[in-house]
Amino acid sequence: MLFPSLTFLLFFVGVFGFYWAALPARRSWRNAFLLVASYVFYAWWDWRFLGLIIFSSFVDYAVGLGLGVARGGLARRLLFALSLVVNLGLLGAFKYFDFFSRSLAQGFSQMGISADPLLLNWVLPVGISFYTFQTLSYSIDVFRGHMRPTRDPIAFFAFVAFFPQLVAGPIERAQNLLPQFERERVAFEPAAAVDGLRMILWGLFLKALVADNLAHHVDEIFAAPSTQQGSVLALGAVYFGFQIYGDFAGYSLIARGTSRLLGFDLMVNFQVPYFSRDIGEFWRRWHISLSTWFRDYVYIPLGGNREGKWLALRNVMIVFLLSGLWHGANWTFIFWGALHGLAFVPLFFLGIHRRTDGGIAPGQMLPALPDLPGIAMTFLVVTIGWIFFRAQNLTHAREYILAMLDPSLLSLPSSQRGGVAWIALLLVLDWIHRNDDVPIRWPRFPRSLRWAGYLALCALVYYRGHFGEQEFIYFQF
Amino acid sequence: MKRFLLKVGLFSSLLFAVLNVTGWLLIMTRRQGHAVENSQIYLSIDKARHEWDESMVYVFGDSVAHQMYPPEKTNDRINSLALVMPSTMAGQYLLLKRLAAANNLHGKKIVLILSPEGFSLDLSHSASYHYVLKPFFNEEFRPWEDPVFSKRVQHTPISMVSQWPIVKSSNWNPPGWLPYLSHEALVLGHGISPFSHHYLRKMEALALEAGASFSVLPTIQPESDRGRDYSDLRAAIHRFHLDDLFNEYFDAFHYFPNAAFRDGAHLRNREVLGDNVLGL
Repeated sequence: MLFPSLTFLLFFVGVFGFYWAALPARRSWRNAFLLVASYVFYAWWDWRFLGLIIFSSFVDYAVGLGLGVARGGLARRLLFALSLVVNLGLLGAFKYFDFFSRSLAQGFSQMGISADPLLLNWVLPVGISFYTFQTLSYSIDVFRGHMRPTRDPIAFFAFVAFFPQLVAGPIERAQNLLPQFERERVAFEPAAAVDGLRMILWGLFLKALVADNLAHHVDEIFAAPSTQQGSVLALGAVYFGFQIYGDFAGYSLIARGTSRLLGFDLMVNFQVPYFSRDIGEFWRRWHISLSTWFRDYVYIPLGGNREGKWLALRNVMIVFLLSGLWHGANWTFIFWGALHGLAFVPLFFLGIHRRTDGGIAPGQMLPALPDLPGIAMTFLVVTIGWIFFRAQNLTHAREYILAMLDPSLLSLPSSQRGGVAWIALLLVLDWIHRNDDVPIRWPRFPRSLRWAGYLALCALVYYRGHFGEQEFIYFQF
Repeated sequence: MKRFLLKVGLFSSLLFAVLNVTGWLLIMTRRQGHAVENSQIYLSIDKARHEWDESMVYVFGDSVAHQMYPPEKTNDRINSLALVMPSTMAGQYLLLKRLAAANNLHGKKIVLILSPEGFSLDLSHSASYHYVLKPFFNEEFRPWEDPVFSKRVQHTPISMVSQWPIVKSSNWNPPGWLPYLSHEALVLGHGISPFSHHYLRKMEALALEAGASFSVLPTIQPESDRGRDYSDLRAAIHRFHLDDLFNEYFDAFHYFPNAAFRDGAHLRNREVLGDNVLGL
């Protein structure tokens, strides 16, 4: 059930209507209903994997209860280890086992030892990387004493399976989302709901219009790099950067919007990342729920920057490599993570990796001139990284880059120029709401103008967008 | 909540009106091509409305035939009106009817170029809504609809809204879980559906009646398909006594290297085909 489809529209209208109008305004009823709706939503993809979510939820709920009553340090550590083993075990078995097995066999074969890889060939369950990280955040926070374990199983199961963000995030923290399931949500908030609709509209613009229109170009360009002009290949890398941004940020926004309509507030996952002035800022604006997850649950526990620069550097690289690996069981993702890590390290060593905290050109019409080289350089590094991210393997990425670094790189692209207009439109609109929590709010415009703008956006998305065909890229992660 | 619903209702009504007016303008100004997928079918339909004095060969077919003989590149002799595979044989027949109504086809050659998979389709394909109902289920083609077509359309839910500007000018297709898709479960194979057989016969009869010849030829194939025997298709040809119609089909396969195809069926670069790959 894809967000930009009639099926989801019907599903959500039914859920929304029943949730606010027909159910008793009690937390337990509403949570139970959301849990059933979430399981229906997931089962629509593949009911066979529903058991995995239920199992993962059950283990972490039980571990949480156990941590609440366990007194000894050993018992608590054992319980916590159980949660780690189950969640990372599921992820490892379904997502990484075949990759590591194959890589090991290749390693042996390069040493002259012939070995057949042991392969499970299991289908990757949709969203497993997202919900396992979400349930893990709960176990870790309870283990650390940062939150009390919940005694409400329905609230907990609904928190894990909450359908707007179940299959592609944002990866919510238990500390943010679980309390929202544990409190009464009696009153409907019209202002929040209207903001939710704005997020959905902008999310559809990003996904159905920008990402899916670029997908066609990207597929063609990446299919045979050796036959393409250098500048077309450069354009293809840029297109993919905006495709994945539109795809993933679009999903996150629709998830936030639908959650708002149900009275929930999910975290911001993307904040105009392509206006970032350095790679550190990029990671504070791109997939924020994942980067902060790694910061809080990997980087800081490893020692963060408390034990000197070299250990901090090691910790930074571990986080970037894990972040790459999280995206997929392929060396291309690991290389992509390493590239970002290497681009971040100089900033980190010079202690300037947080100099760009805060808004982008607040109160100004255009970006400040001194910011432009940083924005351009960051975009260049990120775009080169996308080539590895999109390539089928490292050989494909190498072939792509070599073909791109051809004298024809300096000529105007002779084909595939159809996506430039969408990117330009996206950048202009993104610039307008660059520092806003809610996009396309346009508070300075009179209502009539705002409505005209929304109607125009709707018409554009409807007539030029793609519905119900192109899956979200991040589903595969 | 009431106020919110009223606002949403008002906005939705305005949006419905705006989308319909926009869709209507797209149709009236023949700019649907800016909105819909594979809009070349509207070019072929538009071409079928015109009189062509010089054309000797009329090409019908699917999207691969469209690459082989692009409708945009009419030369004096060969005139392509290729559609896409989900347009089904009913779409091809209605298009031929439209062409015959505007042209004297006496002595002309009608060639249907279709992939081996294309004969198995009927209107239970999910994309048929977009490629058959939207372009053909309307007043212009109504006189040529027959009971077989009407019966299949009856099984298609919300068929009546297919001509609404908001639907017709968009890429929207009914969702795949709607029941019509399971009335006659479609397995894309190499056979010939009774639906295709019915319209193949009607195309043949129409061509004969107009004094034109009618033949069926294959699309280009990837090298890896060399050696396939297409036993399902051959068996169906015998079963439906279509041997005469298909007598050139299996000898006319042209193979190209796998790497030349972007998806196993369509070429990355059509220029390698030249202007007349089948020597029509």
